[in-house]
Amino acid sequence: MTHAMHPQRFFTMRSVLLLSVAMLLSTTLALASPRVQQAASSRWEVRLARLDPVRPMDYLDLGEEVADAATTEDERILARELFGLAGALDAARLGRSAMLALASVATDDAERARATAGAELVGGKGIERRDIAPEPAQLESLARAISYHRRGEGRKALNVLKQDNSDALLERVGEALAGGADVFRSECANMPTGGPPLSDESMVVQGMLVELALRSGDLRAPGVDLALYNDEPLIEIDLSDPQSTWRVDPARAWWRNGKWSGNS
Amino acid sequence: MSVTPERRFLGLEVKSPDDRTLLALPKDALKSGQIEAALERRADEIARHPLAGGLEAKRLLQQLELAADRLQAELALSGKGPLHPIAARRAAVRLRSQSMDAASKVKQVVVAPSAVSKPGIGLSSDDLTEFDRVALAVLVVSGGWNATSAKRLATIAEDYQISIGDLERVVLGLTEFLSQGEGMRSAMGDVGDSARSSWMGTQHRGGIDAAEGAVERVFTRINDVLRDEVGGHTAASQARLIAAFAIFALSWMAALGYLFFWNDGGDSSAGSGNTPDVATSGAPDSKGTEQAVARTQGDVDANGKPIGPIAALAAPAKFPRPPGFVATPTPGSVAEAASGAAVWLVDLDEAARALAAGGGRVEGSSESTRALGLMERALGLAADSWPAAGGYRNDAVRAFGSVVRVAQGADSLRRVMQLVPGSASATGQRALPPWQRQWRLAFGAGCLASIALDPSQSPEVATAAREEMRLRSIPIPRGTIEDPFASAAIDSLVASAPLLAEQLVFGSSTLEDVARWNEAVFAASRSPRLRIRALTAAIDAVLRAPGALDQPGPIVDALAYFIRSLDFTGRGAEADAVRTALGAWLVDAKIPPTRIWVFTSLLDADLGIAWYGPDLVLATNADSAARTVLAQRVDKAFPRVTVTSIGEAISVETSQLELWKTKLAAVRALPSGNTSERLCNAAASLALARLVRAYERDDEKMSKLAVSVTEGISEREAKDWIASPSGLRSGLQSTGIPDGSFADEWKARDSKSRLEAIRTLRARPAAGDLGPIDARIAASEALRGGQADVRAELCSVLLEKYANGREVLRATLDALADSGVSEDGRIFVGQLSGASVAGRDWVSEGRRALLDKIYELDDSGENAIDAACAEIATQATALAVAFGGHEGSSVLSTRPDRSLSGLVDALRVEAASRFLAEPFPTTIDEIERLRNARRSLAISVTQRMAAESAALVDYAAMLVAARQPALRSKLTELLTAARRARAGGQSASAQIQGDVDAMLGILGESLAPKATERSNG
Repeated sequence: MTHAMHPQRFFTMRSVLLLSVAMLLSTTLALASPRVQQAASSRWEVRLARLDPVRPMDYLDLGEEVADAATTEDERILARELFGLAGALDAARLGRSAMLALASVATDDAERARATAGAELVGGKGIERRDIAPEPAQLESLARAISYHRRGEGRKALNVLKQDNSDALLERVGEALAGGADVFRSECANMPTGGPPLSDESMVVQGMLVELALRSGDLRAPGVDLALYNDEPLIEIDLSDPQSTWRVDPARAWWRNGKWSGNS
Repeated sequence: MSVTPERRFLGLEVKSPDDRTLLALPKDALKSGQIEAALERRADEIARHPLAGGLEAKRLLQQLELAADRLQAELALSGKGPLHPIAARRAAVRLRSQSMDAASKVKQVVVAPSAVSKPGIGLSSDDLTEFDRVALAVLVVSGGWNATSAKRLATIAEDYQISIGDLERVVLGLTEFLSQGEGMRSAMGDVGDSARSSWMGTQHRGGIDAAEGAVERVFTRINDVLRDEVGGHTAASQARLIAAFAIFALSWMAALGYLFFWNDGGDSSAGSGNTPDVATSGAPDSKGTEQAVARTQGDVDANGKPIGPIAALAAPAKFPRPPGFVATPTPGSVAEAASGAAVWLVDLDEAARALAAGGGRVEGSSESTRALGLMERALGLAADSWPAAGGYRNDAVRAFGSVVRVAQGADSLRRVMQLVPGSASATGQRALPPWQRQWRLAFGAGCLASIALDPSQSPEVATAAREEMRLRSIPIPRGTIEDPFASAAIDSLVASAPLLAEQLVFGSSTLEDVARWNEAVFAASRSPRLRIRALTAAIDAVLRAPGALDQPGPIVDALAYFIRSLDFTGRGAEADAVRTALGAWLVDAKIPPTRIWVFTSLLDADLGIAWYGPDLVLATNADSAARTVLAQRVDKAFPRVTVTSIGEAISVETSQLELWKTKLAAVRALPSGNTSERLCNAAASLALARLVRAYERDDEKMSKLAVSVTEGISEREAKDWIASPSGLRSGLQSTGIPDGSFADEWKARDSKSRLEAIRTLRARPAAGDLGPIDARIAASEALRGGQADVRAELCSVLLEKYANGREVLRATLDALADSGVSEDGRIFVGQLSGASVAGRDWVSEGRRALLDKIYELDDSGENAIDAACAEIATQATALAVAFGGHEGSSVLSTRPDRSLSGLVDALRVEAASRFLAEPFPTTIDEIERLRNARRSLAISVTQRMAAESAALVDYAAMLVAARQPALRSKLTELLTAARRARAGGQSASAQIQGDVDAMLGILGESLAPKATERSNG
């Protein structure tokens, strides 16, 4: 009788193998990165050395080229620095474009939101942002899903979410509802059929507040409004401080010997 | 049962009604005119009664008059404003009739003044000495304790050998005596008995009274002589009469001739323009004026403060409603046109390109025709909506400059200049409302001036622009002009003000035109100097316009509106211009005193001008000397801000400054651990900010209110914040009955058992809610139960006992998720939620109603946030009103973000009226741009509030820097700290709190301790 390999043991061996390969790969990449970085910066070395703060537009142009051609994180960092310097050197003319360019190369949502807000603050004239305005059918389906979720009937909730594009609405309010739309769906999926209703009082109340906020629209009470949006700060950038605004030092805008330096 | 006259004629059920009830007056503070109006109303009621001619009616009328007199006397003696003329006349008549036999009375011994003012109720008229009675009568007739009564009483007191100090005590005692009410009631009929007419005679009157008596005697004598001659019927008497009338006629002709032909060059200042100068600090010009000044210098009130003669203490003009109006917002069509401002720039840019392609010549080529078309359209749209276009206006003017630069040749340039809107032919062709015509004219003038005075333009271009300006009779700005557009546009608007005022009188313009005119003024100029110039011109135009000012109407509304728009607080470099204009109006002989009476009455009525009191209201019959005196007194009263080494600080008493520091520290020490606490703190800070404004305006009442409100908010306990505003409480579950017991009983499917279960449910002691399991079953069955009778019974129990049960409401809400709810279910949901639930979408409405009810039921953190936001809204609105932001304040008071927005607008208007050589911390346009940008980023209510609060800090800094430029470095530090705190804020509420706190800190910098008399040396 041949001993078939135990599945658990098989998975363990496979995990070890994968882990080893990943470590080897990351070590190789880590060792190779200075060369890549060097290669990346050397690619732009000549153009970088030609930059002069009296021509801020050149920084923006080069930044866009670097961002388009970027293959490594170093090149993306270089692009961000170029955008930042362009904005810092001529905020009045290039600030908004530079911020939008920074948003396009942002690595995470927070950074992207900051740059987008920065674009408005630096040179925007203000375009009213719209509140969440769900379609009536969309809202009814989500409301039913919330009710089913409270009742412990996760399957029904998931089924209702498939109707009237309510899933899209859940994406927008999921954070307020359950810490994320995926969390909400996951909770629904994990509810056993015929199981107990939701026992977490704070989640029960939060579900009702979110529904009330959506139903009340613009006229919602501040307390309900905060239940939907939380008390998140308004993104603010201190425009009087270029370093914190652009994350670069505008006094070090010359590329010398492979790094940014002052005019000395 | 007999009917009392009060009941018969006035419908009063009360037995022995007091004075206020008799006259149907409220219990709060009264005004003299109010009492008279009430008396008139009552008299009218009696007159309309069928028994009006009867004795009973007459008695009642007398009773009413006495009641009115008592109230008037009480008012006059407490020094609350001047006595209404009718009341004064009535009191004098009564006094005269009662004093007929007073001469026969024996002079009584004067009792010590302390005996008069003995405390306690029950003091009767018997306790009054003769002197007291005389004093009381004089006070009533003279309209209270003022210069006239003081002089009369001082003379009488001499006869009684009473010192001035004792006289003051007597007056104070009488005031207390009268304030007891009952004493007044019994005494009023007797007070005149001892007040002999001799006391009102010539020897006891001041100079003015004596002069009045002399004139009266002369006219009486003339009247007697004429009567005798007419009654003589002799030839001699007829000859004498003919001679007398001939002399009279000749003297009239001579007087008229003198007035018309010899007085032309007499007063050059009066005819020189609309703002003749008044000598405000030097000696008066004429001898008569000197005498008038000398006369008035002797008039002092009880506190020793100089006051004017009787003529200057005229009753202010009264209107059925306070004059003024709330400016309508910019018309939607204008806002829409302005929203397309970017297109103007594109069109002008395109026009410049097309003109360049045509060689810069306007010769009928397709390019030049296209260029002209584009230019005409763009400039036309800009001219119609530029006040609403913000910074685009300047961009459009600049873009037009670029087009002009391309044009070649004098003819082409001339043709281009002719396209600038505002030419007489163009505006005449179109049917435009008056305000839009003014806008076009102002835009055209501004556009041409911008080109004419632009040093970067070629001389040919500048010449063409100047030529066009001359053709349109637009004055070319001279001297150093910072903003040619603003200067020329304001000139144009100033020139249109007289026409606007006239059209208002004749009805061809409306208050909408006034609002738009003012909008254009504010949009045209950044400099407060220009705005003040425009507003003073507008007031001047109204004062000189035909039509009655003392009647309600658009012209007086416009006057009040302009008064409110102009800053009379005496701050800033522009205060001199306002003070000069004010003085000039007061003495301008071309403006009748009746109009100045209304004008000064409005200044007195405007709460924003705290320093202007009723003593500065001009009498309707004031002569030029009295007007000059009043102008000097107004000039003296006009506030002059304390100038320190660092600028114009707000001088505050040391104790008040300490109070400010204490309260600021207390507000800053409040806990700020959660959103509601931070919002509460922001509300308290906003309330405290009113204290600074109160110091600035020297408004003691406002400062007390600010402190008390701040304390009220700071000291409110947490339980009060979280309490449900509806007062509803959710029901409690019955103790001792386990959740699920009803569900178990419900398992039996027959209706009898289920009805029994429902009965058990109804019989649960002291229950207001069910457990979650029972609630789920009950709600589900109430909505969808198969047995109608059982379902009806269950609904009935739930509605009766468990309608406020949190679990029942939640379960009902969740039960609505399932389909198949019957019509009975709809009715049940409606009754349970207390809302009307009907129609195709009734489930949606039902859910909303249930959620609303659940939200209202309990104490919660959300309630605290709602209450804090409501408090912020209230305090922001109050502060905005304190800063002069009257418009729409009542509408915005419930939305915190909008109230804060209103406050920022009020601060912006205030800041825009200040003169700053260099914008600080930045320009108003930039602050507004950032504000709009932040608004566009905000989603939640706290973020929207935070979007506004940032601008609060900037405007506060701008206001303080305008007063004290030397504080800029300190303010920069505070601003930097505020920005950092804001950028690092962990929540929107923290940002709001931080901003409001920074605003407080910045405003506090403007306070300085008032120099004491000792320190002044």
